[in-house]
Amino acid sequence: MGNGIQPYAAAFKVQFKNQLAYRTDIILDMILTMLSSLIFVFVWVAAYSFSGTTSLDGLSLTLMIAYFVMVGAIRQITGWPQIINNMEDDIKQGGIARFMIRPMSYTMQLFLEALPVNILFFVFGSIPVIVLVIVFGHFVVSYQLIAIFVVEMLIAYFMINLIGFMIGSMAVYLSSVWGIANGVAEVFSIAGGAIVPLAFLSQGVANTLMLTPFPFMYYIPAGTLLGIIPMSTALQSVAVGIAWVAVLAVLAHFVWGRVKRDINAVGG
Amino acid sequence: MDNAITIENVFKRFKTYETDTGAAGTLFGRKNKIKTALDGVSFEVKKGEVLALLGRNGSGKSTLVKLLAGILHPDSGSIKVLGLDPFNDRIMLVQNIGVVFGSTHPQLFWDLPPIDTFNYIRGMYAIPQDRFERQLDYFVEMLSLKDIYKRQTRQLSLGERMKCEFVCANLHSPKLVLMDEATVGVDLPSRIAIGEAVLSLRKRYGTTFIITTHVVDDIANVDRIVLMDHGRVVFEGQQEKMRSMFKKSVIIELYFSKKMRSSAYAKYGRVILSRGDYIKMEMAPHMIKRNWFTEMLKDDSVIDYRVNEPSLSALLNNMYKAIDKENKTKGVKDG
Repeated sequence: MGNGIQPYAAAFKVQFKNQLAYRTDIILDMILTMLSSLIFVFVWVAAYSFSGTTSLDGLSLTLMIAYFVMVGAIRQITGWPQIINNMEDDIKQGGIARFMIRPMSYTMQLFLEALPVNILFFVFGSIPVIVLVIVFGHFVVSYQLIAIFVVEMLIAYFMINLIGFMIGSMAVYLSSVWGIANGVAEVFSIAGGAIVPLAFLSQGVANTLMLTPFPFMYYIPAGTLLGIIPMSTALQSVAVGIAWVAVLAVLAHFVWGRVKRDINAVGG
Repeated sequence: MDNAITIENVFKRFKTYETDTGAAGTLFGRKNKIKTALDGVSFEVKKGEVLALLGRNGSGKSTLVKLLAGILHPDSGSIKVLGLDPFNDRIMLVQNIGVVFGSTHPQLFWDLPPIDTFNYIRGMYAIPQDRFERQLDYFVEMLSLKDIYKRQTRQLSLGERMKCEFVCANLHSPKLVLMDEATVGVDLPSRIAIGEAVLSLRKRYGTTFIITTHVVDDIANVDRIVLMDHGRVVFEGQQEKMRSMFKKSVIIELYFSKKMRSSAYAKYGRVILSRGDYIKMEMAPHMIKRNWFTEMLKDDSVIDYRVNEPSLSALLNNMYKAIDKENKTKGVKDG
């Protein structure tokens, strides 16, 4: 059945070419994503200055700035998934039809549609920023740490996009998923450590959040590379993160299997 | 197996709602409704057949096409397309079908030239390069795409884009092609080119085509017509059967050696056009049988005449009128 990976490779290639037609949009988006994270840098600079201390909960100002710049770099590829907007449009406007007539899974096509932008963001947005943070912050980074960080970035990417896919699926039943998407994005930011590092939260809250997928989105990858999270914990997190991705993938498959029967693309 | 498609007693209903006017009405006056898009549809399509699926807006044609392509799931009934269940075997099925969704859901990438989409399709269906080039040459020649397919899609006219959409659906030589209102708004030369391509592909590959359209010219060369109304099949057969069932009149054109008054001919039928020495009129078939036509021709001033069959548009209109009359009798309502 089918032609294996070939259709997906063809889809990726054409989507990459198609996305390059919007170079200016991509560059502006990249800059704005970084700027939104810089706001937190300024907030923390003010907080340290106001408190008159050089360390808060064991984190120096340099480390804190590095952390939020790193969160900004992670957001460049995980961001708030474009997948939700794309799905909502496809389902509401009937454009899903053009994906369903191709010999490929709709889910994979959605991922491939967003992936070229994610890759461009990663290469031209995330990597330079991460290198700058490491160099100017004098962080000691081993190849092993970089490998773990890359795997954690992938875990974060799939986690956010799989949840995004399930939220996007709700467009079959709801007039708009925009409100839910924004609400969930806020939860991700707070519980994922994109606004306050989880180390700043009370032990009980932090421990509870560590049992959820959220810390894998920002806190764990950024914390791993900057040494906030010990190597042994980071390795353990990779295993748990992969398990979470597997659970979310099964859940997304189940949700879509149910939802697609109720697609209501009436008329032409 | 001679059938490309077998549809048995298929039902499809959608949940929808109506609201009262005004903000309060929208908030509190919402009434849920069930719209029956397909109401027990059954018919078959033979391999290599070119079938026109006709019906007014909202009659269920597009829903049926989406069911055939595996995009929608039927509430009940059975659909087999090329021996497969379209919804459950979608990925396997779409290897062998092509779909043109008109201008509403284009396959072409708006910011890229059509050749990029064609190349994407080559990769998607793993079409060998030499076969792809042969196919492309064939379509470029047949649909006059030479100066079109390397230009950015957004710069093309609707007719040019639709010809390229047709290529997208046919490049991989599918066994079945579904064309859902693919010629809406398309200029005459492009429509004719697409129509000729349909017949050529049927001859070349034995491709089966299902064409939904409101453009009567599109059905001139189809093998069979299925007419839908309120989600049901209300007519199924060839054009000849349609003519025999719904032909209410013939069109007669008379040419005279002098200027004539049309009122003199009003007793024979309805005068459609009168222009001095030319009269065009509509006459019921039984009037011809009663020799009124012969009587008309006895007039020495008639120098020539022509008897025409009613147009397909007129026949279809008669069909719709007959359906409305029957629906009124049976009390059939929308939805």
